[in-house]
Amino acid sequence: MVSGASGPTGKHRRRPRAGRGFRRLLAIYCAVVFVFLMAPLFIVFPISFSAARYLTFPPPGFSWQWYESYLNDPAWIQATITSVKVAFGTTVLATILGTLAAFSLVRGSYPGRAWVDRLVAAPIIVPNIIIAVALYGLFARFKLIGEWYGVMLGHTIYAIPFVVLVVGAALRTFDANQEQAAMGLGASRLKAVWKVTLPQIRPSIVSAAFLAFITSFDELIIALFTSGVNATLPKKMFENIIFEIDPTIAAVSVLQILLVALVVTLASRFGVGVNPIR
Amino acid sequence: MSDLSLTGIAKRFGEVVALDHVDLELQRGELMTILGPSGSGKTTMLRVIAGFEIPDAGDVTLRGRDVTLLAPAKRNMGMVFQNYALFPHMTVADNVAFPLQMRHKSRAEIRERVAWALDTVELGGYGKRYPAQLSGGQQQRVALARAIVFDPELLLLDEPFGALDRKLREQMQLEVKRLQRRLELTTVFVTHDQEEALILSDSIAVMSEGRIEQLGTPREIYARPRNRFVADFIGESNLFRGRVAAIQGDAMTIETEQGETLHAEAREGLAAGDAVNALIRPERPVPLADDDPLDAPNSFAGEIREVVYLGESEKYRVALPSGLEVLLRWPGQGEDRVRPEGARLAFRFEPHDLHVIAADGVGEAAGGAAGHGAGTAT
Repeated sequence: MVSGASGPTGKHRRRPRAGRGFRRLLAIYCAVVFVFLMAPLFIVFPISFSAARYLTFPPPGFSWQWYESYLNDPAWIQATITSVKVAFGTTVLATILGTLAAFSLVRGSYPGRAWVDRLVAAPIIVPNIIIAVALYGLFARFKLIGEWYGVMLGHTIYAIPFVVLVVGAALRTFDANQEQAAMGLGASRLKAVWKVTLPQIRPSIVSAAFLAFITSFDELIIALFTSGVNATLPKKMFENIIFEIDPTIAAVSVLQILLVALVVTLASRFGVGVNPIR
Repeated sequence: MSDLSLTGIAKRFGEVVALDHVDLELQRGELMTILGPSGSGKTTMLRVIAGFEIPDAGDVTLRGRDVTLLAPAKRNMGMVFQNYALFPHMTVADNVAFPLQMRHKSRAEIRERVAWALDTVELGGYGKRYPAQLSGGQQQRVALARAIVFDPELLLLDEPFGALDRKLREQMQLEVKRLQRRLELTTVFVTHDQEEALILSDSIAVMSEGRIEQLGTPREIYARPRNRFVADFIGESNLFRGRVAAIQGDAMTIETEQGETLHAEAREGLAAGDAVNALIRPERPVPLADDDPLDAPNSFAGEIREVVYLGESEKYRVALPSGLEVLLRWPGQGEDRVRPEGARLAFRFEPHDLHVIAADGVGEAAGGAAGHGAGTAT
């Protein structure tokens, strides 16, 4: 701004104009992306309050009937409970295991570490359906099909790489001197990690946990194969689309979006503020 | 009995020899500086003392207790890190309390000791702040308070002044020294800054390539360096290669490569014909008036090639007719007494001030610089 105002030369005058043009393009681009991302919400929200008996847009009138249909159907409620249980279990397991793995990969030096480092992303790379089929075979043998903790184990496998990537990135930039200082001042290695390292990488761990939660709460394919009669919410929605297709899924979507928004808000509340100065 | 002793400490990282059988002793309350360029092994030495590295050979003994294999946490040493390593998520008071909490002290004792430590470093009212809210000097004080609060048996300082600007650095150096004296803390201080080492130390160990080149008081190290490396590393120096021309009783003469004759006090172990390095510190010569005769020993006159004005002092590079160049440093002169470049300058120095170092490294293992000197002399 200062250079634009003070620059009498052509060179100086030209630059802000080019910048302005670029900024305008950028703004348009961002708006398009925003609309593209948000458009489904603007469709789904009105449809969930639709007075019609089928999926149609724009909805002909306002009604709470699809929320009532969701709340009055034990199958939907059961699926919701299952999904929440699975997602929370996955979050806890994946966050703990993934953080431990990240420590091992960033701090450790042992034979094969480089290979583990490369393999850790495998669950994201391997197609979900392959994992799902493999888990189905395995879980069938151990009678885990249809149990919520079976789905949780499957989701944990899928969520761990996200945690490892996020926490690993934080650990890599974390000053290892801090831990050494703590040990030099009388802390055991465990105490040093607990009191000094973990509090400082907490924002990343919270983000990682949130990612794990979303990954599980949203996951369909593994749940489709392993949840059996105890359907998760995405599976129930899938079945609804196949067998009945009514605006209930719009209502469920809205509730799902609100729950995720709540988790995001909580995550950002507890994710930052580790150091009030920063 | 010494407070800290290292005997035969050796450490290698793969092919690199970081420490080559080093011995050190510190008395109670002594501040020893380990001084050396990067890669000299000084940091490895500190890490061995602190317990972050286990030496391949040798023992570390702290107040009579063998701590060689002890974990850092069990050594009771306070350490100030290069970048302080304050914990950013804790307040100043919590940072200082950390070592006490790790030692399971009572709340009352922690409160009392933290207050004492913060008062000691003159940060009385700062307990509730976070490290990021403090200036560099204040952060340094917190690090210091944290290192002394648990009454450690040894204080370790790892280049703690590097991040401070010059003025603040000097102030902190003196403060640390006063504190160390007052609390009688046995201290090991690691630095590559020779000026800092001279200011702070009771004794200095000059390191190079994993060995201690010389151990002595700052004055000894400065005035009587044992080899070319030490002479070069500490302060500014005029180092002339030459050989002993003659020895007569207490006196000897040295002929430099350029053919100048220097007078020095005779030194044991040197004979006529030996290759030597002659060291004269730039501030030792005194100026001669233009009409003074040049017949006294070590009297020279030459042309000023370069003047560097530093305010409190000024430096002259003087070329003698033989081609030998001498660096001189004298107190800064007023505007009315300027010695311009190109002018004649005469000076002399006492034979006592000329320090003669045997070029083949008498009484030491090797030393690349000394070996190099011998090569050129033959």
